[in-house]
Amino acid sequence: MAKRLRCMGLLARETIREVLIHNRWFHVCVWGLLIFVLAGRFLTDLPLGSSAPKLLYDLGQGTIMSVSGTVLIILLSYHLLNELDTGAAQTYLVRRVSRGDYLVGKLLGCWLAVVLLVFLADGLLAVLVAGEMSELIESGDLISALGITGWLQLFLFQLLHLLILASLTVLLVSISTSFLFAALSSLLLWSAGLLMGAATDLSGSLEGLGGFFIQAARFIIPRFEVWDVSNSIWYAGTLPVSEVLRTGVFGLLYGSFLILLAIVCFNRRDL
Amino acid sequence: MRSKVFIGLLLAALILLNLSVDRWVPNREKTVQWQQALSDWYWIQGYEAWIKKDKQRLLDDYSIATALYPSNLTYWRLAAQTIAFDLPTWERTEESEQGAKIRERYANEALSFFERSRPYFTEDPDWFLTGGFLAETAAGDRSLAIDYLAGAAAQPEFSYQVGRRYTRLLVENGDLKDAHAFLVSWLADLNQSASEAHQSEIQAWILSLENQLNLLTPTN
Repeated sequence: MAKRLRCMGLLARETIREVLIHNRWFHVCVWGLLIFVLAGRFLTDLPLGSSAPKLLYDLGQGTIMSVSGTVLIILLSYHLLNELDTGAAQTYLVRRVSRGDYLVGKLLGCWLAVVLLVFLADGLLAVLVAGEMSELIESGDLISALGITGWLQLFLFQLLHLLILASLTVLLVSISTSFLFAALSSLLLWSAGLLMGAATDLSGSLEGLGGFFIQAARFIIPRFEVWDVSNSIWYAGTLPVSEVLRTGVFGLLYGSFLILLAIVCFNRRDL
Repeated sequence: MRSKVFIGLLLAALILLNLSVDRWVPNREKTVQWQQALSDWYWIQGYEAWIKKDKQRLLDDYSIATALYPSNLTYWRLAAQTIAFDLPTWERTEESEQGAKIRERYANEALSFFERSRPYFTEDPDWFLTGGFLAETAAGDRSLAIDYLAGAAAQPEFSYQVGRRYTRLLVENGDLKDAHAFLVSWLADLNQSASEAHQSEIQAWILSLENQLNLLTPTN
């Protein structure tokens, strides 16, 4: 077991190094995301009153999650399918690395690289929002500000969200040979999962086949909207520990299930 | 090397073009489509908050929806009216005195919210009309309502409704001379296309005010 963990750790470390040091596209994404988060500051000049930090926060969170999720999907799909195509994956697999370890190692590597990206962007956003809020608190327009615990909880949920997205991508990669198919279907399922909450509300007023399909989709598509707690944290300050633990454990179970499914599919694949 | 210099020059030209676009294309619609789409999204979110009676979320959503698309008077008007008339009912208490205080607080909040949109509607009589409506019905402040409607009446063109409401408020406030002067100038400015019913109504109003003014004027 320790040997397998060490093996996965080595694979993850190598992947992170490759992404962080050699992947220029990833570097462009890092700078692009930071600039986008920073650009939200210009919108606070609009006639927003005491809601200026909320817009900054919403736009920042939206940008961070959409960019980091897309980057993660593309990184993972490209990385895995490219290594399978060029035969680089086979060189690992002949060295007593099991297929499951290989998948998990690659997943962890790409996920941790994107987590670093999210950490940087969240840090920048926290500084911008805190600056905006302190101005309002000084002028008496705002009573309380989002604390460090709230930001940490938000970061934790983002990690879970990205972990489940990475597991879903790996599952789709393990059953496909085309980068475009894996990346686009992951993006599609992710977007559908994010919109599932709004669609469920809509299905209440839809009759017939439309309502049935939406209800059926709820049982198949991973419901990513569950991990989007940014609004709740903004208004409540922090979430109760029991809720964080419950959701965290559920998220880990969900991710593990998807990874197990991906390993089963990958083991049955001809290389 | 040459191609890099060329790309650099192209980028510099692009930046210069972006910086000077306001000078070259004046009076264009500033709100871009993504801002409008985002504004609509926040407006729908606000509706969800309204259903759940989540006051803080509603205020944030409406503030952001209006700020992202500030030239949309409908959003400003509906948001301000929601703040003035809906939010007090969410906090209604048994005591009537406290209820009045709550209504007053929200009326002031609605007016200060609505005032944020002033720079975008300096020449729009409908904006002044909405302000006057809020000041009169929500805040119960007749002088403020008159100020708003005076702004609407100062525009080159305003609706019949604006003129009528302005005159009524002036009369109710006891400013009969001001009301008379306004009606006379309004009648003179009315063009031929104005309906006869409106013209005759204004004339009848002028006559009635002249009678009242004669009664008030002390005779020697």
